Amino acid sequence: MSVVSFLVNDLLTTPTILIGLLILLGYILQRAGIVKAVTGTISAMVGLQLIIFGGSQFSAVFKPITTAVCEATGIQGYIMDSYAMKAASQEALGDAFGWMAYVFLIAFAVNIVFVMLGKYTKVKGVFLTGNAGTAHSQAMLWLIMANFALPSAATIVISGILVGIYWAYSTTLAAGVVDEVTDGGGFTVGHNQQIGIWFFGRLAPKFAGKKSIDCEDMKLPGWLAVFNNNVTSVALLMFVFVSLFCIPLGIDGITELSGGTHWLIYLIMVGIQFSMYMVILLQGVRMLCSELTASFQGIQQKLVPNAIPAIDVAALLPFSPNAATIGFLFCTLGTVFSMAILLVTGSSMMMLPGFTPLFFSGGPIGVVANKKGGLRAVIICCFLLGVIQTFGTCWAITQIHFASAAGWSGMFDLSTVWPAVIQVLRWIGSLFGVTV
Amino acid sequence: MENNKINVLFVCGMGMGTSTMAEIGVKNNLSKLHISANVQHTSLGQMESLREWADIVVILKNLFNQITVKEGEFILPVVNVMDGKGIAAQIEEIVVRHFPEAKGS
Repeated sequence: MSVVSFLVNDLLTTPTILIGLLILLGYILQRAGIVKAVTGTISAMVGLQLIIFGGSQFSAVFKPITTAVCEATGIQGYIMDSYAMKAASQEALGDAFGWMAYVFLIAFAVNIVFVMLGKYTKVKGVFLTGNAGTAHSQAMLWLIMANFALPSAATIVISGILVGIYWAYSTTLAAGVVDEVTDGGGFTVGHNQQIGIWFFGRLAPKFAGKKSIDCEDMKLPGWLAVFNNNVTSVALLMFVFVSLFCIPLGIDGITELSGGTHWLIYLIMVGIQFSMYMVILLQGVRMLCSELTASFQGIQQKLVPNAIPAIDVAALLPFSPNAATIGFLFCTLGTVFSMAILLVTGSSMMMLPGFTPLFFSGGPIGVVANKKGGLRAVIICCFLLGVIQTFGTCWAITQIHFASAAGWSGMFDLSTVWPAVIQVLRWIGSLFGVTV
Repeated sequence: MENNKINVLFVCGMGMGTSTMAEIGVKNNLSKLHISANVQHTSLGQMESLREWADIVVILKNLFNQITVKEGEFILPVVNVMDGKGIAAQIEEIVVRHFPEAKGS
């Protein structure tokens, strides 16, 4: 009995152990040698622990700030960033965090099956981006747990199927326009904004104007390049936006928050700390996911060799570097504009834009809009993108039932299609009386 | 160089997805060309720490103008990360000229 209870209550409820065991199983199935299996499994476990640590610290930096601002103004602040979503969903899931591995595996299997049945499903894309895939798995798992009272097995299976269907269709939708932008580059995007890529690919030609200017013919000021460096731009952006967010506290309030450190030093250090915890998270994700991406690509080539690999969106950026930078800038402007609207209308929520949705939605959608409509389309589409992402994230936040979350992803798909699906499921669920 | 293997570093913005995909594709194609290589990937922000290690750096074209190429360094800017064959061919040219011991027959 005690052995069973050890297995069920201790071993399988410690996320790192559970995921480590699954990865070990993967190595055994691949017939990797003992050295590879042991080193691979343990580094993945260390990676996962880094992710958990980085995520909780990320939240810990932000929480006292939001609490203080909320007490002073009644406004609850949230960060729009994939890493804030990782941090929040890990915290919300607690011991159930390890289940995301099952969700991930089910989703991948569903995606492969949809490609195999391509004749009927029209699906061609296979999602290979481990870093975004694990984030989707844990986010969907939490959304289903937070919105529906279902047995745990059903929660896991439903989450996995939903993520798998999202992977299958979103990557396939984006394939056409990605092919056009990359001149037949042989891939599609599998990340967090591929439906946005399809959507703006359709919309951009309408904004082309009479004389379309190609962004690549323009000369951009050199200092803009600092935003291409993730370590730098996270620190800069978080410093700027957290400082703005702290204005209602006044200098006295910030000094109280900092425990006596000079207010300016404190705000600079907040930016630096966010960047540091993101580096820790990234290092963890790298240790956990790079093997995952490699082995999933191996499985894809074995099972569905003719599928289109759906890879990280950053692969689009080199095709039009200037458009990516302009897209990032106007996505930021659109986001700041939406923040002003939230403020003026007296919203009880305030969104703080993180680096990821500005750079990895704004950038690639800028690239697509430039190809389809030139500079004018880039400016209009990316501004609109910032607006959609900000209000869409407000919508998503109302569904996570976790008021003290550090934030949620601000990426296009996760602030449009995802909340829409959850909304529809809530209606369906209420017919059966399982909606919370 | 380590034991007649060239060290190739792949750099993208975050050092995860894109550089990983480039790494896999290039690694497969290098072994077809009988070139022995150690490969690693990283982000632009963390690239400096691995720069000494690398014999050849493969970097996304949009990040290329942000680094200063030092004397004797081989840095390849790439547009399509999925073009493993093309990137491997460019690496082969450098290997043949400068690191012949890494090339088997």
